Amino acid sequence: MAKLLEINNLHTYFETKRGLIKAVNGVSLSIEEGHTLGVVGESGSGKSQTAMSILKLFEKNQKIYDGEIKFQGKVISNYNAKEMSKVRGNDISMIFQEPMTSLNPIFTVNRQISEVLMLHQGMSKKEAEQHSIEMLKAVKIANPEQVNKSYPFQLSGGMRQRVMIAMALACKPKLLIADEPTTALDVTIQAQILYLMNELKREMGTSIMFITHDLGVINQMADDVAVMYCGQVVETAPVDKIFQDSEHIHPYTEGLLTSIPRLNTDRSSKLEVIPGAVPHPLNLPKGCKFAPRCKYATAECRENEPELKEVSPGHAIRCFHPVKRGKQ
Amino acid sequence: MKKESFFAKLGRSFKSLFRSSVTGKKEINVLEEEAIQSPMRTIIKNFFSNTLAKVGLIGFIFILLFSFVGSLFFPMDPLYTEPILKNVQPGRGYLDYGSCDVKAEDIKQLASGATFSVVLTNDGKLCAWGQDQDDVLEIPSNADSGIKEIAVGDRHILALTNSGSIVGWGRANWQQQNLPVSIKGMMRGKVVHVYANEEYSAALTDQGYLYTWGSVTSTKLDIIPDDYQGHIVDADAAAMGMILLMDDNTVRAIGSGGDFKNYPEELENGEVKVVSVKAGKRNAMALDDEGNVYAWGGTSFNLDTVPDFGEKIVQIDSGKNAFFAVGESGKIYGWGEDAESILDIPEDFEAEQIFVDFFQGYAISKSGEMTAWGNEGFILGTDDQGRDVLTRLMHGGKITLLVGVIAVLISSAIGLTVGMIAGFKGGWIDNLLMRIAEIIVSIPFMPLVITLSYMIGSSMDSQSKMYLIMIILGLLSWPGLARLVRAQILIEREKDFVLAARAMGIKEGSIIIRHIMPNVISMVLVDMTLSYAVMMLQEAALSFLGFGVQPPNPSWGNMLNKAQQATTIENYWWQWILPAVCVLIAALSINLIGNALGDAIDPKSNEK
Repeated sequence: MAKLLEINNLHTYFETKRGLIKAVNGVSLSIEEGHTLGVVGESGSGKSQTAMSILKLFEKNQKIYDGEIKFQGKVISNYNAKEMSKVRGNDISMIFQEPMTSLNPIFTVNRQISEVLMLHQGMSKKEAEQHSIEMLKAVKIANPEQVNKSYPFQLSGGMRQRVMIAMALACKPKLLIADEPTTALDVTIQAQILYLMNELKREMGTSIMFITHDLGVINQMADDVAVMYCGQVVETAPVDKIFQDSEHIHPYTEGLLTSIPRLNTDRSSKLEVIPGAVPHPLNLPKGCKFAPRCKYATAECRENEPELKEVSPGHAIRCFHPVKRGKQ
Repeated sequence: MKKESFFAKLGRSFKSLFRSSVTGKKEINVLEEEAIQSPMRTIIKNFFSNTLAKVGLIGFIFILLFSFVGSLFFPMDPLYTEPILKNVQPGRGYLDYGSCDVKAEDIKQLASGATFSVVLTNDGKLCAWGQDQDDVLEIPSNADSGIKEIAVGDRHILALTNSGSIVGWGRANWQQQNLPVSIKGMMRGKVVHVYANEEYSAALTDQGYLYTWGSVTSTKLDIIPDDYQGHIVDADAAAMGMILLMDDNTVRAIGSGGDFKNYPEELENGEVKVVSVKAGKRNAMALDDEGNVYAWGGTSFNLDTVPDFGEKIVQIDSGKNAFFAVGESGKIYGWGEDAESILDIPEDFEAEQIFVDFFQGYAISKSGEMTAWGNEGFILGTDDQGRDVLTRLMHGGKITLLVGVIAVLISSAIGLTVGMIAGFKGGWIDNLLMRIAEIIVSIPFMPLVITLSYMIGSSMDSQSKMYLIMIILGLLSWPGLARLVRAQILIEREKDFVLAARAMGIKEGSIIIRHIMPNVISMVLVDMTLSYAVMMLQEAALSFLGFGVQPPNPSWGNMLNKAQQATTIENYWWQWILPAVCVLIAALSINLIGNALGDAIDPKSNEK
């Protein structure tokens, strides 16, 4: 299957007074057409910054230092602001974690969706309004005409996230980047939104880059998974391999998996956690970035940095000593 | 259905304005969905549910109407002054002849001063009306009856009794109301006529001798050539001179009104027989026995040009700077300066006789009707230059409000621009702009404005100085708004919807203008409203100190300037309390509106 998005060795740094913050430090991943890539990792692992780098939604002191991003075969990482604004919202769009604040409080839903449509699709105001109502229908809003005329403060969080999705999908983008879209929602609404996204993906053929720290959501949503740690991809594999049938697994992924509470574990036993914390980006360890927290780390791990190596077709791990499954 | 009168409707809607906030909270059914309301409508609704806001709005609309609409109906010539009307108390009824129960056919003589009129009836009784300045309306008991003739100056009255003695009352700053003993002693003959005008009086004897007293030296009215004396049969007194009718029906003039003395030759050499003479401030006119009118003197207001009447003239009279003539047909003609409505002569009135003095005119028709025109009075009095305080309040309000608006527009434009640039650009530009703002804030405001106004403005005319004040106020008061805008933009630009808009491919410029600015602008509006009140007060303060809007252009501030004099505070309350009340109402209502607007925009205030 054709690759829609390819990221090769991406380095995105922040320049600060105290030094370079290597937020994205050599990320390589790819998304296939019609697939969902789940990007998982702890806070500060560089998931969001990777997504921001794709759309070049940078702070003033942030830029791509190395690497390239290819979208439909074109290198978009060196696009200027004008070219980039044609890609944003039209070919690639993005939804965010906070539906409560992601909509402009003083404009109606209609105006916000229409603005995107008029900008990218050159629609007239009337057409845009019609299309806006259709999009609201598509995201399963019960009374689209009513909601279309509403202001964000009149809508609930779930409704707002639906509106955000409607807005993001209004121009039928090839790729939708969803940056923790359900984190701020309660579980039932989360389930509805996830269901909706899966359905829309199937209907519209949109690829999704789904960023989350919730492995449960990944299991439900993703076709492929990229596990990130300290600005690097430490493991990438089809979702089944991660959760079930791969022979080897990265110690960090193992840690993430074991820290999920399960219904069938003994109640008296403690939930396993990964000890320590993500290292400060200005003070990254030598060698493997996960070594200080890894229970399998050796002297080699602390000295040299491992490469992302394919262990089986479609499954790559950045580790000298991948953990054998079942060992736990 | 009974038809409701306009006023009843007005009163009802006025009441309902206030009622809605107390009892008008509509019960919303739980099942009924709340109508969708745009933020703007919510703001408006919030605003109008606030009683103080309504009071402020009504106050402000009142002030606006007063200044801008009122000044349309009461035009003002800033250079117009009228010394004889200075410091007149508020009051009307200068033309209220009805208050004296006198029939037109009983009127022997009617004369007016600056603010009042007196009538002499055929049976020798007096009655006066108008504004009682210097107790001029209080006719003394020895002038109660037996009066033969009266003469009225600007603020005093002389009455000639049947016995030939002169009784005077009213203003006495030159003893003009009181025939001096020295003149009385040397008087040749019996007094037959009395005359009076601004601060002087004159008496003419049956032997043709004229005597003047009061304020006569500065106008050289005390100098009456010897060859005139003994030949004078009539005269008319004006502010700076007297015009004399001699026994050979020729005309002569005395006094410092130099223009008076340029009378046409035919009036001097006896070619025409003059029967009546009248004088204004700088002009005089005469009527001959054939009904022709001659006018001469100063060229202002075309007073020296006699209009073509097309008929014989039977009577002439003069106001201060206006001449009147009555034709055979009874039509009244008037020309000259249209001050205090003195040229608003009633049309279609067949006059038999007219009595015009200063700014009041009365006419009696052949059928015994009476009418009046001219100055009806000053509701709010006059200032120290004789200008109507009401008119100046209106025009002053216009200037004060306008200065405030323009100053606010200038300061808001600068503040908004600087705040936007600082907020969006950040970095060293932000730093530089904010330091400049701090420097400007740290300069003591009033001393700087006064110095600037004095240094730059000293060579300017009063009109450009007005603009200078607007610009100075505007240039020095932007930092507050700039800081506010900058801070608000820093808050807004970090909000998620800005990032979301960027992710949707909306261009940076469009995000700033269409997404961030509308979120900032409401605060700017509130700030503008509140600083408008401040600007207005600043202008008033500057003008009060004499550095703002310069006279003769009025502003509420420079009208208050008079309050620096103790005499004004003590004696002429209407000259300083009224502008002060106007400033108070305007500033208070603008502040009320501003505060209410702030509350209306703040969504948390809805929950109260």
